[in-house]
Parts: sequence; structure tokens; C-alpha cells
Amino acid sequence: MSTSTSHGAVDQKDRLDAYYGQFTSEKEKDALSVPLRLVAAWAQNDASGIASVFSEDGILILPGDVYKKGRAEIRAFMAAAFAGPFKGTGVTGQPVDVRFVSDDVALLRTHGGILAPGETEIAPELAVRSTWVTVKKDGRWQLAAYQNSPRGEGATLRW
Amino acid sequence: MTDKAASLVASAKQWATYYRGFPNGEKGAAFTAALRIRAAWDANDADAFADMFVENGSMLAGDRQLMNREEIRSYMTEAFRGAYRGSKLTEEPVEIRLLTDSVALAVTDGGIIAEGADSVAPADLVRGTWIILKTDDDWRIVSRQTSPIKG
Repeated sequence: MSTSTSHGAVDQKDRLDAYYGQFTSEKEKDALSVPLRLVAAWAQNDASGIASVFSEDGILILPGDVYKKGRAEIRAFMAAAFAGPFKGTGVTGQPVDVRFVSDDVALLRTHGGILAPGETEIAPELAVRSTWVTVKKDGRWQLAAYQNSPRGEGATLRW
Repeated sequence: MTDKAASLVASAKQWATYYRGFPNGEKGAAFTAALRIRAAWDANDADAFADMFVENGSMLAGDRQLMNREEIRSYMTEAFRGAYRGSKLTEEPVEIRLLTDSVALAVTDGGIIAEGADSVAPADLVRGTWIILKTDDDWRIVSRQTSPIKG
């Protein structure tokens, strides 16, 4: 293994540990793979990748009248968003709450928001509180429903 | 028919519409938890409202994330004395799903009807996501979150 690869792996582990924060059990980390996968797909502006994080009939609700049901609707909606004003954007978020409603249903909350192209900090206009309803199906945590709500007075983004 | 009976018939007719497309079955049963929340709101009864949540139930109220039943109780007690006094709630199901045998997800459209108004002001229209858990054969709210549709 080259030195640079080894450093890369360590950086990656540090980043993940910083992301997981207080949620250190394997089960919590497994469920948190859902937002991590979505963030990774968003970084590529990959609408299909985002849709695939959802369960087949997953639900996406965003401020403004966005209520999408199922991977196909979500994929189409995100593809259009990335063709329009969301081109080149990223998304970020930090877990603040992880609760298991049952063995295979976890409720995750993150504080985050969209990153305008090239930005690394969330602007107040774009700050959100997100709830992720995740379900373990076929051995894999999937996103059954996602909703975000504006976080803070200045959070004015509507879709 | 007496006035009381006529009024009961009218109220029951109205109430029955609150189930929208989910009057019966497990989905309808799960949604009773949200309807009891609505009834508690309309009565401005913070205790009845809070008691519909599981102990570690959570609710996003405006920009305030309430993290358990007692936080919800004290927030709503305050709210029904102040900002929400005399207000009513409308929250009608557009989707109800059983995620497992004992966990349901509901999506509702609605909002708070200010005292004296007869419908939700457009800027106050919200879409809500509810996680509802069957505990000891009764359904209770685990999580309720709303986000603005227009405002």
C-alpha cells in the first residue's frame, strides 16, 4: 500500500468518525449509511443514485409543493433539479438524532443543507432540519421517507 | 331531532371525512392516533395532545425540535395559552403506509386554522410526516414533522 493511499484511508476513517459523532454503535452506523449514500450521490449530481437510496416506493417531501412517490418520480425530479438551479450543488448534514422505532425501522435526524457550487458552509437561506425514515429491507437500509423543513428564520429555500 | 342530536349528527358527518381515503383497516386504525391529536388540538388540551405521543416521541414545532412527551406537553400548554389559543388543526391523510406490522407512516396536508378563521391561511399550509407505532394494541405518535407547502 502506498503512503498516500494509507493516509487517504485514515482521512476517510477520521471523516466518517467525525460524521457519526455520538452515534457509534454498528447498528446506528449502518442506518446512517442512508444519508451518507445520498450525500455521495448528490456530490455527483447523480439523480439515479439519489433515487436508489430510497425504497422502491419511497417518499420525498420538500418545502414548497414537492411530494414525490417512488424512485421513478424522485429520479425525474432530481434530474430536472440538477439540470436547473441545483446544477453543481452539494448537500451536507450532521446527524443529531438516531432512534430505532423497531429493529428494522430507524428515524434519523440531520441538520444540514444544500451547498451552492464551490461553497463548504451552509448559508442561512439553505439550512434545513431533515428527518429520514429508514427501513431495513432485504438486508439493506433504505429510505422510506425523507422530509426537510426550514431551519432558522432565514431559511427561505422552497423547491 | 333535538338540537343536541342534530349537532352530533353534523359533527359525526364532518369527523368521518377526516379519514379521507383511509376509513378502515390497519391504516385507518393507525391514523386514529393523528385524529386524536387533531381532537386534542381542537379542544386546546395540551395533556390529551402530549399523551398521544410515546414517551420519547418527538415533534417539530416551527423551528423548535421537541424531543419527548414532556417537552411537547409543556410547549403545547404554553402555546394553547398564547399563540394557538382558540386555533384548530386540520390534517388530512394523503398517504398511509404500514412500514412493518407495528409501524405506520402517514403523510398529511393541512395546517393550523387561526381563531375565528374557517380555513388554513395559504401561507400556513403544511405537509406533515407522521411515524405512528402500535404499542400495547393502541397507536401512538413517534414523530411528527411538517414543512411549508406555500409559505
